[in-house]
Amino acid sequence: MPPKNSEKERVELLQGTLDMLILRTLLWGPTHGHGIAKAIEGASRDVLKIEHGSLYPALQRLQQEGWITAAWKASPNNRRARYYSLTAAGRRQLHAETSRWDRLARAIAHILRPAEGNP
Amino acid sequence: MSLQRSLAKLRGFFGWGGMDEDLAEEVRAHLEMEERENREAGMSADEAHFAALRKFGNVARAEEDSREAWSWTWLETLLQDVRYGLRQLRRNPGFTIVAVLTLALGIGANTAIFSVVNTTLLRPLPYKNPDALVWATERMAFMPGVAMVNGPDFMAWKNRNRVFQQIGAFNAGVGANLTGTGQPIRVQVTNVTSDFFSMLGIAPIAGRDFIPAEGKQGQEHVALISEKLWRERFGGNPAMEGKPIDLDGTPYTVVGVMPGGLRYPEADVWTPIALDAADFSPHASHWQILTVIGRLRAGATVRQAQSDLEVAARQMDREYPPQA
Repeated sequence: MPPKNSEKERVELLQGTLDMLILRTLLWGPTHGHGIAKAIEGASRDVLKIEHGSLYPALQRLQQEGWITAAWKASPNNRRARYYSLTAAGRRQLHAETSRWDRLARAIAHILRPAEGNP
Repeated sequence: MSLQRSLAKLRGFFGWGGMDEDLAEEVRAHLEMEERENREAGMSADEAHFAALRKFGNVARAEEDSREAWSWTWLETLLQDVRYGLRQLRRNPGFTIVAVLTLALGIGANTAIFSVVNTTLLRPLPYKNPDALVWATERMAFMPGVAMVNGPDFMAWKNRNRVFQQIGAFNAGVGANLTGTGQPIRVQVTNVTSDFFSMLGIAPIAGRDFIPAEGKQGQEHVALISEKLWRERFGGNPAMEGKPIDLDGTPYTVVGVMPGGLRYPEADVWTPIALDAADFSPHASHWQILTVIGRLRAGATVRQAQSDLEVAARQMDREYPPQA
């Protein structure tokens, strides 16, 4: 059953954010799904805990948009895994999303903590 | 949605490209890696396994959601539901039979009724300006079920009316022997007034229609034949005008061919009615049995036509009082 409206909005916000985090992680170099999950958790100092499973729909979507590509490779443990890498378009998208996120964060910060002298 | 995306979805929908298997393997690899890390961190094999699963979340959900990217999941869901429905129907044959019969009955009845209504009410009559056509008849007090018009009354209507642009009539058909071309056959002959077909707006497909002069005694031995007769007897010969035929021994000349599908009045051969014959004079001794169709003038209503014809009838009564 698809989530209802406000739930949907919440999910969509999270989707966009998750997309951005995945793209950012891949900026460091190609890696597989598990690696991405660990990277996000690690880089956020474990503040961000995501369900590993939720990465996979996101990865599919990013592939569809053409921002990442996938290839089967052997992992260090000689286990076959799917490695994702950033495309040029993905790089551009990451840049755009990061700017948007910064603007959003600054706007919210302004509201929450107005500068001195502002009502 | 771009063409590429749609094609990708098509592949995924049919399972070409092995996307499902790939994803399953990818998920397995992910879980294995997590398990390894958990074991290295000191968990027992079982603990590692379940911790990995918990971290992953709902595996089935992840796979389902991923599928949305490469297939039309709504369609898949729909097909699943349809298959489920069919399975249920198979398991309840009694109910299924009743449901199917009810539907069949309903659909059948509906179709039948619609066919009738369509041909009789909904489809427009195949005549020129059919709304202006009316059927006029007399009824006799002593024979209420019968509707027909006799010769003199038709002439009265024809000559005295003010509402009709044209008025015509035809006689009930009789059988006649057609000879003079190949094997003699029996045909249906109907007599029509010379301008009847032009009033309805039906043009012949070969030759010509009757001319008014042919609606007179001595000139009425001309005939229009039906398309069916034309094709069967005359091989669709386009030069029909002037062909001689014999009806019950009387020679007639074919002047034209009427289109197939002409149902009113239906016949194989039509001949003109001679309106100056004795049967149409006011003192006619024989009764004609005519069906009268008229085309109203522009702007005339049926009610006007009704009163107009009544006036004509009353005039007739006055001028030619019925003999006791």
